[in-house]
Amino acid sequence: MGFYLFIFSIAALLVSPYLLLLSQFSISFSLNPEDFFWALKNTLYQAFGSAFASVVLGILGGLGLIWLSRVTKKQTYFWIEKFILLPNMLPSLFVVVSCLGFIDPFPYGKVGIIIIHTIINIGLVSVMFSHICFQKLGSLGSLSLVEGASRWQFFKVGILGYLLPDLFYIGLFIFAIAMVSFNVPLLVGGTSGTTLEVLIYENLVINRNWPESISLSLIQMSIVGLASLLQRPSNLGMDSRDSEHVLELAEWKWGLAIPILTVGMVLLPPLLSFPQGLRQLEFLDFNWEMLISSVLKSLLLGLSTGGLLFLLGLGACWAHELGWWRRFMLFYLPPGAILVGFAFFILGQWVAVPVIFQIVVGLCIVFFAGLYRLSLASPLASLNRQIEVAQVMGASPFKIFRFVLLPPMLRSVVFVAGIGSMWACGDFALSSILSSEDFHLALIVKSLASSYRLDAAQSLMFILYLVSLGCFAFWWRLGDVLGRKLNH
Amino acid sequence: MEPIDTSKSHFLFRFKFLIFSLACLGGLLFFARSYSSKSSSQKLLVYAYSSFTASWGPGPALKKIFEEQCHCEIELRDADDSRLLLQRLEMEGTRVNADVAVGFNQWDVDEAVDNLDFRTFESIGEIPLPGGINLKDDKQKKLVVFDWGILAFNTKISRDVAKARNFTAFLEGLPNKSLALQDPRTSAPGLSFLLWLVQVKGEEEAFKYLQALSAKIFTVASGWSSSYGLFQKDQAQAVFSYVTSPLYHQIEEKDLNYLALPFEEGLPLHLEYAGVLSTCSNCERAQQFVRFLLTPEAQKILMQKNYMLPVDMKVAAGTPWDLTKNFKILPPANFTKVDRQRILERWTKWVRER
Repeated sequence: MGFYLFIFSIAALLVSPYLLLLSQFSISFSLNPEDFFWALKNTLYQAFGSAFASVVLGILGGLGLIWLSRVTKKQTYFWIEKFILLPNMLPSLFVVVSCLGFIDPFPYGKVGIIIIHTIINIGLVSVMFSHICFQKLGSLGSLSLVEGASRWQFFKVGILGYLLPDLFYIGLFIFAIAMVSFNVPLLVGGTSGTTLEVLIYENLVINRNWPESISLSLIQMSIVGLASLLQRPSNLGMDSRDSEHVLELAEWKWGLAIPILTVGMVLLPPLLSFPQGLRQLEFLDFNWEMLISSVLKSLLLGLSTGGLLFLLGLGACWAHELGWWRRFMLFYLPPGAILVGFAFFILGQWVAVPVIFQIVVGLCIVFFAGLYRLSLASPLASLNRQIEVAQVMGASPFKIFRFVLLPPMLRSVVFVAGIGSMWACGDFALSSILSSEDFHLALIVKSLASSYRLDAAQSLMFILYLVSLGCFAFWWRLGDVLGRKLNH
Repeated sequence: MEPIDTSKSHFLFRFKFLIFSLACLGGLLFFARSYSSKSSSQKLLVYAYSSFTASWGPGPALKKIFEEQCHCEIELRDADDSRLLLQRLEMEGTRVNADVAVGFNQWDVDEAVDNLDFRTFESIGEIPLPGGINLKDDKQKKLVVFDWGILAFNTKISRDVAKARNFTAFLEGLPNKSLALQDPRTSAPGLSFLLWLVQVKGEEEAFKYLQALSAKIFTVASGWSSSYGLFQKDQAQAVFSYVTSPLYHQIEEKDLNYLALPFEEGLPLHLEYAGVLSTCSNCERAQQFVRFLLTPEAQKILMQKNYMLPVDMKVAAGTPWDLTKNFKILPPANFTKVDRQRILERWTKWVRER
């Protein structure tokens, strides 16, 4: 009974923004069909293109990472892997400014949107893809090497053949991110800049037409939900975490150049303007005490969000044996950060929930469904057979969780917590709705950028990046410690 | 091999899991408590937009002076921008009892007066601006203009388009894909740009001009900061911004290369309002604070830290902000909500067909 109550509570938490909004506003749809279908067409086109390009280039980057894991020390590999995640956590304006400096003339329109989304997500896809290869193709790699398979055969049969469902879910994750992207389509989209997310913002903030915004958000969710029904997660068995990976056939060292060059392209312009940024901060007589306090608060925000995501991740593993839960998690898409922000704002009118708590919970709701698809759905599906065996032998849900699911899933759950805490450090969309002061670094960066001080904002981004890395490293290390304890 | 005692490890695991969860929750609650304990009902609660409340903005300096004068405490709350300020105050209503709202722009001011309850000012008279513009109207008895700006195309002196002094010359001097605008659906300066065109040229001509300008537009950003950032980084040759924007570069970066174009057709105003909410719990002090914003001392801080123009133009005399004589200013445009809605729908259609 307690088990079902717990799982139901998690599901209720995830849908709570919709429930809160629907408790105040009804659903209505009065948009001009021409406008709606035009925005829908733009949204689908750019989201599909971004997902496809990110996955294709991310695979190549992932093959480079597999090579890197063999030729470098574990520690070096860890930091390089985190380094290539950088574009994924920078505000989109910085990425756009950097890219426009390198790609001249820049192809505005749908292609431009796809390019920026791809640059933002290549690193993340590369890391995810390499993780999946390590988890699932280790023994197949050894066998193929012994049997004398060629690289192409291994790529075609091993990677594209066995990992297609996993790649589909990575693609779906990028598709969902690109769908709710707001700034990039407007900045580089030209006539294709009007997407469903822009319509939601326009209805919510400008026209204050809540019913319309909620309806559009539900439509977005339905699209992602229906897309997720097209493919089931792969049930290819997982290797144990400590197994030796023999993936030489999957290595392609030049692939690493793709995410590294992407990071270089994004990082170089802010690096060049770093001295100018420091001068701006000096001129502002920047309050360094405030900086230290905001660094600490960013750390706390990141770690708290990671902590809640870690618990949600464990909860999702525990609930995995329930069919309705699996379907729910694959179908569900949270509303965008702005709608979640307003939903929690409404909640704040009824009960005195501290703002920081609202932000942490709100961010977890925004991030969790995507991270579940990205990092948990497929590894969990791989364990279905073992769960069935345990059930037949009469194991309780908790025993299945503790002895069957937790040991192999721990690494994926800490990855969810780590990525979530990195993103939380860089959040300003939800925080600026709920918070009434610039209490963490990302909010200060946003305020600086909105008052001419772009270079100063870019300089602070480096500190923000270090804080985010610290959060990720914390969760990764905790994963190591917990993993050792579990194995004893 | 020794058999694993599952019941013992099971219990230990549950115990550790429980301790870990409680520690996480405890840490978060402690953080939340320390964070929320800053609020106090006895303070004068002032809601304003981000660049006002930021440590480098005018808010903290004004707060310090006013606190010394009134021997009271002010809490500045960041409400992001004018639209979110409105949403926030409307949703919070009487629960928070905000005292002062600072930063509605002229496009939100009607909605603010219609949807929020403000205390009336009796003794703040009309505010004359340069060019014979008088801001006295009914709204002003409830909301007071505390600073203002003039919007114009900005460019760098070295660009060809810097010589343009009217719409036609601007169109001719601008290279293809070189202008950064803001989307009027999501940005106040963007809306000002569109309505300025309509005010000067009439609706039909305005959209014809937009059509002609189409090839020159580099990007239509969601907000001012994005478009100005692209301009600063030389990705765009011109941007729609404030005539005081070059002052920022001149004063803080010692860069004299920026220029606001003084169009012969006249330039649109950007007005920023403050008011005392009826939900106030420190109403007298709130009124004093709004009056304080209009004192020369506060006007100087607003001018220097906000890079906007003071409503008391004497404050600007002899400073780099004394630049209104260089620009022809148009009186505030009178567009009804229906007009604006229609023009915005036309904009959306234009964007689609571009």
